[in-house]
Amino acid sequence: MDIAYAYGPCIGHMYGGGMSLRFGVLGLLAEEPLHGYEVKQRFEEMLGGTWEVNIGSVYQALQRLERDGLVEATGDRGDRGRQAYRATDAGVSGLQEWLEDPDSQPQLLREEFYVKFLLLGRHPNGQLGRLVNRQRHVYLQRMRDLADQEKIARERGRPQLALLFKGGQLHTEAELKFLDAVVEGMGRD
Amino acid sequence: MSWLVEMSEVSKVFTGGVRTVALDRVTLHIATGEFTAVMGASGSGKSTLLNLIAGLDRATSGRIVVDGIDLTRANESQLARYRRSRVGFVFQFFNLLSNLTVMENVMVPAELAGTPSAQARTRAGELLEELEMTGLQRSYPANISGGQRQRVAIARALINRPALVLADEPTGALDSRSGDQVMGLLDELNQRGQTILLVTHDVKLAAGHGRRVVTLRDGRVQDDARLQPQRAAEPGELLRLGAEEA
Amino acid sequence: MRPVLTQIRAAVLRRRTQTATVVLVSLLATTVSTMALTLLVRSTQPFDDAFARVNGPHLMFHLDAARVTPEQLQATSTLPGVTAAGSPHEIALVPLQRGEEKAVFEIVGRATPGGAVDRITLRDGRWPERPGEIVLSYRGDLPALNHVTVGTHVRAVSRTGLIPFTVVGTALDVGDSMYENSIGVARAWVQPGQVAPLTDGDQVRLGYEMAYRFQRAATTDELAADRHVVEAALPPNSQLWRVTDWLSMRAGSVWLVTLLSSVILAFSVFALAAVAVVVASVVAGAVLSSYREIGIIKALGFTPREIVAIFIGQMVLPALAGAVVGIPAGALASAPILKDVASETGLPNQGFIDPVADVTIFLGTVVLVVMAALIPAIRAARTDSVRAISMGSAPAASRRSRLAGVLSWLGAPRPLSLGAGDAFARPARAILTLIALAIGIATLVFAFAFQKTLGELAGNRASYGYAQDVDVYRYPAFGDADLSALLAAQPETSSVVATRFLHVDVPGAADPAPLVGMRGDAPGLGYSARTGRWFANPGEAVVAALTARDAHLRLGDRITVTLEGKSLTLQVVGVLDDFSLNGRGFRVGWETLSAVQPAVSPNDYLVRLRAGSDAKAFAKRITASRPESLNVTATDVNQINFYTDLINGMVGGLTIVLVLVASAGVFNATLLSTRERSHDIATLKAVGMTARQIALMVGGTALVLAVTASVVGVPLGMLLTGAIFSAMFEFVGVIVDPSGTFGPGTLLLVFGAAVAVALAGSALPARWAATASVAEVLRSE
Repeated sequence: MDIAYAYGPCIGHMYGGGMSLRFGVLGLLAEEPLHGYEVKQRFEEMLGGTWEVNIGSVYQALQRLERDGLVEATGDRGDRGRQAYRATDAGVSGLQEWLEDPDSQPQLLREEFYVKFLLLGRHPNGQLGRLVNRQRHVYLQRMRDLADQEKIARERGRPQLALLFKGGQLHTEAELKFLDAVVEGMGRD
Repeated sequence: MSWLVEMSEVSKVFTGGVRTVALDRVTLHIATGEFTAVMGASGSGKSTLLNLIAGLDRATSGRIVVDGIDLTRANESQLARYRRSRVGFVFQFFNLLSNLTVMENVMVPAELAGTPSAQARTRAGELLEELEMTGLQRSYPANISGGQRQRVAIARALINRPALVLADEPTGALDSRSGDQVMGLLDELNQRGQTILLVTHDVKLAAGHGRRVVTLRDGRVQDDARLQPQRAAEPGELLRLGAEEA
Repeated sequence: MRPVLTQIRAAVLRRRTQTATVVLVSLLATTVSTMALTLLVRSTQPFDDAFARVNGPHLMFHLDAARVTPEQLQATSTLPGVTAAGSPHEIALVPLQRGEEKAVFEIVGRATPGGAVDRITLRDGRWPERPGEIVLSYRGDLPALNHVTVGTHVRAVSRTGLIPFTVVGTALDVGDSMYENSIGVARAWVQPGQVAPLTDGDQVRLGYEMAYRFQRAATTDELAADRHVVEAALPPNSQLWRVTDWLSMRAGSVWLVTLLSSVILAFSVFALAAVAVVVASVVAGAVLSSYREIGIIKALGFTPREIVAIFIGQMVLPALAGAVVGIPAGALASAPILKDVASETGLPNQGFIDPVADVTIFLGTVVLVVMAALIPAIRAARTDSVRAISMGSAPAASRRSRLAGVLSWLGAPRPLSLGAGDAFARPARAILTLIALAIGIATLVFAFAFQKTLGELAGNRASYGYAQDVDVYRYPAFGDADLSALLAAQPETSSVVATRFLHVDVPGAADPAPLVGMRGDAPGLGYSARTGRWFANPGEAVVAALTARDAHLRLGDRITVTLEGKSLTLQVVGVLDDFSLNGRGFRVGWETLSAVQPAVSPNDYLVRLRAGSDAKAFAKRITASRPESLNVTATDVNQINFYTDLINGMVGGLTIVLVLVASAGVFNATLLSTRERSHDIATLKAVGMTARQIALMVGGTALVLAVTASVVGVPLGMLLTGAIFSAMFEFVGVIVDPSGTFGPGTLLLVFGAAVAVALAGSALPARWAATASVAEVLRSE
């Protein structure tokens, strides 16, 4: 943690997905000063409901940002006496650096299916085949739902969000292709 | 349940040169009003399946009945009449006749079927109006965009009020925007009760529009999934941005 | 070079229909043209050789001894333009008799066979040295006298009786006189001074022959000029019968072949033109369909020149394959005709292999094909390689067809209007195909007209002097009254027309014209006027077509001719086809003739027998009654039929050849069109076009081509027919106006045939298009 700190914003990689929240908050504060609750609301709005953020996490992120000198309290107290924050100069330049830095994290395979695949592969008994089939149906339905949502987002004038759903479809396509590869691999054994 | 398409134990073997089993005892039933997507990689047999249902090719064995017509027993001219009266074809590369106008292109299947010219013209005009192509009636295919061409092709496919619309990679030659429009059109048709069979290698297209996704693999039906459309899912159930919070 | 050859070989083997098309058209065209050229060269060659060897005369005058002296004639040998002249030799037309056979010979009194001009070549024996010795020319068309050998005895028929001669030699003579009809009169030679005793001053008159060679005598115009020079130096009306010119003799020596070969030649020019357009169209199609391939081989490093070579090579090879079969076939086909010629002229039979003609046709084919293929091949070489590879197929010819629009507006079925639109999708190809088709159609028009006209002529036996069943030629020793009584006494005799052939001078005409007096029912025998009517009253005449034309005579006109110094005014009441007299002369009633020549009696009796009579038996019996004074010939209808059948068969065969070439053109055009349109056709099939509708569509393309080609081809054919007819029939003495043969029926027939040809040509491509697999085509862009 200390070493990470020494490297400034780059340390964020160690946090994995946590970095997205940290810089998401910083990015919003770089636009205008906000209270903690406003930060949560705006963040969720931006993500179109794909990410429900815990308010505690937001405050935790704000505290860390403040500790790292990337944000500071404005001194204004809003209603119910909450503190508003804004990005410092260091924060703005740190954000810029992060935005410019391409994402070079390792590939995330977070779907549970991968672990099931590994475990079932150790003892081939046909269970994997059935799982793959059920999983395919889930993915296909997900694909359908994402397509529906993409359409809805587009109809509601949220093109960026629609693109996120498109991204989801592309990932689902990849998952389906992985299933194909698994089937292919099973056939070969 | 009334089946529009009944394929029973259908096989297709190509013997020219290397013997290839393109379809291997495929059984597939499609109900009236269904939007079925047939998906598969190239060589999976999906084109063969399409050609058989379209009456463009003959099965080696098995039985195919579409709209009450036994394609496996029909002769060539019966097949041709079947194609123009029961099936509407939408191709990847539009396949419009370049020396006919948009209007004439749409009219061709009706004229081949012997519909009087005036009647065919009226029907084609209505279809083009529905597809917002009225202004382009007198244009030639070379002078309109890809998306417009595919809309003309859809109008042509519909002119004889077919029981079944076959769409073969209908967006394959289009940019994504035009592709979306064309697929939207097919969705709309389906909502009005038109049975549609979509053939594609693109799972996004298949799952995104079909109510039923049939996956072919090595000439066999590998999977037959029924999807639920317009499931009012919360976005968060579908997509999660970011990771476990640290 | 090797990779180029590999490419050519691959193309020839892979593009089988293309190769087969070129082989076929090349084979047909080389066959026809080789036949034409071989006949033309080989049939005149013997005459030319013989003519050169004997220093033959360009003009041979036959003069009346009563009006010209030998000294006067000798003086003409120094006229300007004359390079050589013979001596005046006494002549007379005298019948020679051997057994029952008789023939009129021109008997010439001549001391030696040699000299500057008109040398006589002896086949065998020697030249006559004493009175009573004779040399006969050897000819093929006089059955008995033909085969005389040295030592044979013949007798000359004269008013004073039969004068015996011994044949001491036979000679090859290129200088047959053209006398009463197109078949020449053979010459015979005796010692000078032996001719005069044979003459009688009436039927058999003494004359001189005078042979000339000139500086310029290569064309008919030059010959005419030469002739005027000589005629100007001679007293008027001093010619006994018409001048013989060497060009006519040359043509006449092989008139049938000349006729045939000129027709075949016209056809073969057509055939070669059709081949050129078909080859050009095939190559252009090959270039289009191998667009992508061209891009690839260019990318591989083939130079433009090599690409040109590849495309020309793949045309030349099959064309040569066709020629290799076609040339020998054409040569072989000419063999029987050449053999016929040889037996007719008595000149040696020529081999049917003419290396010059064969090599000319071979090289000509190569040059023609290279030329035809050049432009498309150059276009291939200019292909943009990158574009070709990325595009895959040649840029589609998609032009809006107005025709299709009009047709569909007229309510034509869609497949038909679609097909019609395809006809001109590629204008260059359409034009090439139209040329091939138009040539075929023009040929058909000609063939129809020709066949009809020839049939009519052959049916009109009087027009070529064979109206009678038996011809009896009387010599003075047997009287007219006696013969008439004899003929009338025969049970088979149905009718007799007695005739006398004389010459009259026509004002304004250089040559005397024949005048035939006819006693008896000539129309009953089959004589008829083509226009106007047959003569009925004294002073009326029926005029042969060429004389009518040259003397500007129309029905109702009057003309005054001179017969033996006496004026005879004739009224033209009819015009007839008369190629027994080379299309010239007048036919008059006997009263008309005897009014000016009361002493003249008929000498040629045309006998019509009752149906079912045996003409040969009749002829034999009549001959037997007075063998020395009569020459009786039964008409051999088979001989006539042989020639008309031969000519008809030839024209028919040639028409088939050109129709096949035209059909190949349509085949190629529709094949290429259906291949290029395979995508559209597949689409149409997918949207429900039936096989029959596809056939209708492809047929529609062919139909439009046929209709368009007819619009050009039919008038072209009429023009061609007019030209060939006037050349051909004038040659045998008949003026035929072909426009009469083009009734609506004929035109409809031609049009129907054109449509049939086009549909036949498009049948296979239509079938292939209808049965082609749709699935593959549709999935490719």
